[in-house]
Amino acid sequence: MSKTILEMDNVTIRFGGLTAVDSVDMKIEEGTIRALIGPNGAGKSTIFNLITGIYPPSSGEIRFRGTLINGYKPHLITELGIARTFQNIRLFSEMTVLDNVKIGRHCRTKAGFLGALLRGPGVKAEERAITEESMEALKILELDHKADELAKNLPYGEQRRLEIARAMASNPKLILLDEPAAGMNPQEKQTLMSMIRKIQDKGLTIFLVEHDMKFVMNLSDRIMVLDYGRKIAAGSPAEIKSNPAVIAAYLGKEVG
Amino acid sequence: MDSIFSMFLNDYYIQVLTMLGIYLIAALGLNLITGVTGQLSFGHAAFLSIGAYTSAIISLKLQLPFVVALLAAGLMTAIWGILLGYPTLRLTGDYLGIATLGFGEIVRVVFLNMKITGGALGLAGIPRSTSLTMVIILVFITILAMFRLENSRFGRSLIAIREDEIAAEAMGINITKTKITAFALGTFFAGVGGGLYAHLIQYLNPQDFGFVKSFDFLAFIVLGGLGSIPGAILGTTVLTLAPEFLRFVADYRMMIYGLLMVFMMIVRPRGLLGGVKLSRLFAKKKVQTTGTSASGGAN
Repeated sequence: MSKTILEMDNVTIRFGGLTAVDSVDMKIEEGTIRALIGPNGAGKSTIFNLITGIYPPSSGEIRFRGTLINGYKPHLITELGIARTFQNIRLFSEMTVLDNVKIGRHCRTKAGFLGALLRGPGVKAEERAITEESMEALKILELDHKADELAKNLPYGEQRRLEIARAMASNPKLILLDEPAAGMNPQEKQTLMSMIRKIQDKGLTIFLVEHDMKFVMNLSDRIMVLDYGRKIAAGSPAEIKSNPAVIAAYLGKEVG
Repeated sequence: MDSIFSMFLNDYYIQVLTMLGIYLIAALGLNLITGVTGQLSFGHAAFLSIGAYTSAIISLKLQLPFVVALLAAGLMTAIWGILLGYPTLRLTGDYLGIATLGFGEIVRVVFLNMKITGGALGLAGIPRSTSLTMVIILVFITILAMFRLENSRFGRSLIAIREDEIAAEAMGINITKTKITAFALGTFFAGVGGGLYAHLIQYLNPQDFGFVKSFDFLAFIVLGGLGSIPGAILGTTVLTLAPEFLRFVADYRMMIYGLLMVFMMIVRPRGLLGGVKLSRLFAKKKVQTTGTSASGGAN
């Protein structure tokens, strides 16, 4: 059996009177693709925000490779090896495609403002390495030919891919993709799917939120279903498809 | 030291150009904070005054060399930048603006009431050590420093914070630390500018560093194009020299100045050189030259 990379133990978060995520347990094994599905407002993005440290959980424990990461700041969690993309694209729009990805290298490099001012040989070498590694990440997502364009000028599908490239540049062990296929046409979705497989082949673990069922069923090893902040089901794609609780959550219960 | 300049410039122009240089140094500092990092500061003149008084007091009371006084001015101002930045840089946008505005007023009132600063009478008798030559050298050093800062790992993290704070943090940037560093660097240059100012005008009065002056610096960099080094230089130059050259219309000059700004914002809302980057200027030139050589080969 492979190792657990991320573990959520009884995690709850409340916003005032609203319990957005209610005692969720989850274990993700290293090297697998896990999907998180559920109707709108089920708390999927909140789970992402909990894992990446944007919100600290009200109770429960989140462990990444054995380390308790509750209450860690987002930038420290990224340093530990969790990277993410956002549901509503959050690129640095006035920066070039390459510079966007270079930001992903930030937590793996060190030159500070003094290094910037003095530009010693070490700093220059580091900068060269940053450029090379960023181009690598762009190649995986097939964006290397657009390196010098401004991020805001990319078409929508490529902006989504750029977000993944930026996340990849931080050398994560676990990558969280928040609706990566949203707004893409079927062909773009196919490309994306093969790219996600390529990322998995590199030994990364992928955790994604997605509404497109075909996409989810084709791609994921295991699926967790969330409704009103509670886990209502978990299992393989086949199990989820035939789970009555899931069908009820998505289509409503039969009357009578 | 300025004998070369005095051969073909009269004292008035030397004075105006020296002042322009000082404003350039301070404005480039503000550009790092507001233009590059996106943190609105309405207190830049206050930082200038901290540098001015620090250097003046060091010169007057301790009789230390001017270079030491200037460096101390920069460092003291940066320390105050950090002290203000630590609690306030958690705020964003307008809220940060109001906080820095408040800080600026506090600094002014403190200087107005302190004994060592001469209170409302001001501080007079500061030696005239600032020369145009020295200011020009410092302007070039500042431009080089800003260029290097912007085009580095550190500079990228500043721009990322301006573009999207949440994404920047999710990408592993320590937001608070980075913002405070940017604030310290920007205020350092304001402090150096203040030190030069004190040793040029030879007299300091807290009223000269009020909110209006802070606003002037913002106008410099907004008119030039936020976040652009050439923009900050152009904006500062135009707005510093315009009132001088508009003297012939005497009473109407501030009106024309105002109209100019309104007109500018309508025609080029992102500033004269908004979005123009020094590094990209060079890059474009390179592309153009290779482009022409390639087409030349085809012929």
